[in-house]
Amino acid sequence: MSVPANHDKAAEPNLTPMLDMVLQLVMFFMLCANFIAEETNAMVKLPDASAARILDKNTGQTIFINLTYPGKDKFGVDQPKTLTFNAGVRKVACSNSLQLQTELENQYKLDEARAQKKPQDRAEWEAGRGRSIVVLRADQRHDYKEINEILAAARAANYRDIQLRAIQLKN
Amino acid sequence: MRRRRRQHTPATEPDLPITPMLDMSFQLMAFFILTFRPVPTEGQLALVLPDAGNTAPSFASPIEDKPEGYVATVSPTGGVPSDITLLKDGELEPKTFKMTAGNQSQAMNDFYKALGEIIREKKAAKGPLPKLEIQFGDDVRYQFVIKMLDDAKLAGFEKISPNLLGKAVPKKPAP
Repeated sequence: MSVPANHDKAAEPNLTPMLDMVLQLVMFFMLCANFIAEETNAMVKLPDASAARILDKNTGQTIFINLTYPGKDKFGVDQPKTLTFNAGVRKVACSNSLQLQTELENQYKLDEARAQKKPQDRAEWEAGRGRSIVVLRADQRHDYKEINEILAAARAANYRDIQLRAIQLKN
Repeated sequence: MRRRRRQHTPATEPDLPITPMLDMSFQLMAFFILTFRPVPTEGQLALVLPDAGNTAPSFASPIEDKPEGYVATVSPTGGVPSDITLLKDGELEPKTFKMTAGNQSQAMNDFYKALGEIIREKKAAKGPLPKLEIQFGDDVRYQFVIKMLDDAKLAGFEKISPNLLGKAVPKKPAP
């Protein structure tokens, strides 16, 4: 039986397509890696809602209020209940709803001052628009009493439209 | 002129060692695959807070028809909602959805159906959509609060106000 002349040649796998594929996968996972946005809090276990809609990115200034539930984190360390106010660069840990109300009132004054700069913004303000949007991210294990304290603080600071954040359920 | 003879050097094959890069890439890929956890999408339920005092209600503008109002109450039993009532403005007798340990989801379903019925009637009559205020007992868990607000949104209510049970805003006395 005749043997081909190149029988002894070492077989070399072509690694280039595999390497291309691997690098593409690495790039995909790197881009998809979701780093927690600073204005939100991963400790908050949000409730589910089917009617929840994604916030429009063109809605202007947004105030995030995070209310965590006391308990152990994933490393078993005890975490207290926290209430934080985030509006752009302003990030304040509030000790109670009264402090939160003060922060919201300050933000309302900032909104008002910003609206006075341009005539069209002033007209919007007079019509009841142009306010920051208040988004409440509260843990689903809280009682309504605690949620109501935050809503009352927002209402007292003249914020009437509020958005309750929830995990969007697919219908 | 004598041309200088070029010194002939043997051609060297460029050898790029891709093995360390491949190792690194696999390690990176393994890390990202193991730590990859798609974050659930977060959305918002938009609500209108009830008036803080005797101010003009925000729901209706003077030029449009004043929409009908409904008030639902959710009384608490250890965090879980118990009875749900639904009262239309001007009526005295509320519709009650009794909740026991066994029929909790049934009562919530009935409440959802009742809300859907109201919206269907309003849409058929081409009238303004009614507003809804839901008053929750102070120890109703937030999870159920969102569930009920979600049901109201899904039923078609657009202007929904959450409030604390027993803290209803006093109405303006008639002149």
